[in-house]
Amino acid sequence: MQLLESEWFFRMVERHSRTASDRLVEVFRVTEQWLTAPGIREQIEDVSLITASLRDYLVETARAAGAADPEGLSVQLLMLLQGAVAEELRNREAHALRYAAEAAQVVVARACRDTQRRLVWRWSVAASLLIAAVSGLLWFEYVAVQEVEMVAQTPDTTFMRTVVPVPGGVDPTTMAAAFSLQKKVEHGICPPPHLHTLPTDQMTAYMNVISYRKPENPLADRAHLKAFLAWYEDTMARECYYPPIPRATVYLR
Amino acid sequence: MAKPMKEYILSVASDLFSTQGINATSVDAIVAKADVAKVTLYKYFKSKEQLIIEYLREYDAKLWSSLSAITAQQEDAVSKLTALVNGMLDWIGDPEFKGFAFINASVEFPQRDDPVHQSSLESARTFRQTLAVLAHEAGLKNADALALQLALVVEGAAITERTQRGSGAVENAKALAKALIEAAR
Repeated sequence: MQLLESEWFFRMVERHSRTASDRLVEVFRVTEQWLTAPGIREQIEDVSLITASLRDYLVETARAAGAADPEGLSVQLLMLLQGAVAEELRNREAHALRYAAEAAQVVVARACRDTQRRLVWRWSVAASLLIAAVSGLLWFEYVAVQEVEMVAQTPDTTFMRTVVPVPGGVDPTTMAAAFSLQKKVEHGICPPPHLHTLPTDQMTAYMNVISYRKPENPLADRAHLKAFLAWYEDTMARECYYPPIPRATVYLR
Repeated sequence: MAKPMKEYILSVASDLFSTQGINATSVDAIVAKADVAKVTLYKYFKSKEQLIIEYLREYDAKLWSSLSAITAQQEDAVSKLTALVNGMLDWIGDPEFKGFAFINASVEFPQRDDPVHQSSLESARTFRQTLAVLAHEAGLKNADALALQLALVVEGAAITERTQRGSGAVENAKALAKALIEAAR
């Protein structure tokens, strides 16, 4: 049975199979095809077609397929193949190789089941992590920001660059908004807030941020700062005036 | 004295058939080994062909009596099926095993209309049918396909065991048969 170790045989096996487990089953189909070729049956004298390379090939492929015991699986498959070829030669109508291929499928699936489970588990963990990461990003990008949409918060890279992370419970976005507002006030773009008319807590929170002070009660500060920014947005933001950029053409619509 | 003599000649012939092959064993060789006259042999067996068929029949009877003793101990059909296959595989694992007589005979007599070929096919068919009946009884899926697959496993194990003794063929075949039966449940 020199054919079962030829290059042609392995090429045929690999042509129609995507995975290593497919290849293990495909060995049976190619053998079946080969036996239907004219003149082949007559050439076979001994069914003991154990060839070192076919065995090695099966072991290697079983390992690639993730079988728990590649040697054992390959012995089983080889045995099944020999039995099927013997039967096929004796009794063509039984379609022994077809049934052997089915049996091989069952055995291969069982032998590689644990690995597949491990793979499925791994992939599902990866997928859920990805989903978690994406939804977290979406939450930060849309949900968190949508909460306060204000002039003070429209990002201004020039001002943002000056933001120094201050330890404290005030979240960076709100802090950046406060800094941004302060810069706009300093540049005369926006009117300064009337600090004396503000509730004391809100004023303290705002002053804490712009003067880089560490807040005594970060959680309260965060709420107050948000309230302040919301108030500013409501009452003062409309007075902000953005000076025209020099040499820029303005289209009025 | 008739029966023992017939049995004696048959046992000598069986021995030679299983070790040397059927075609390779001539009537002269049997007569020489048994140390009887050729006429005596032909008195009990009309021809070599009849001797071969008797040999296969006796082999079958021995095999089945050991197998049915094993299956009789089991309660349900699945255990019986498993025990039958395992019993067959243990028969293969026996160090004295020279290949199944009926399989060897069908290889040596490939002509379909040959009585020896017919007789050996009959044995193989009986085995497969017994498997199929048990598989149906157990309510397994694709019982007929399973029966054929199990028969293939047994045959493959026989070939492997004969060509490379001690390769763990029997143990692997048992695992294989178990997996197939479990998958069909």
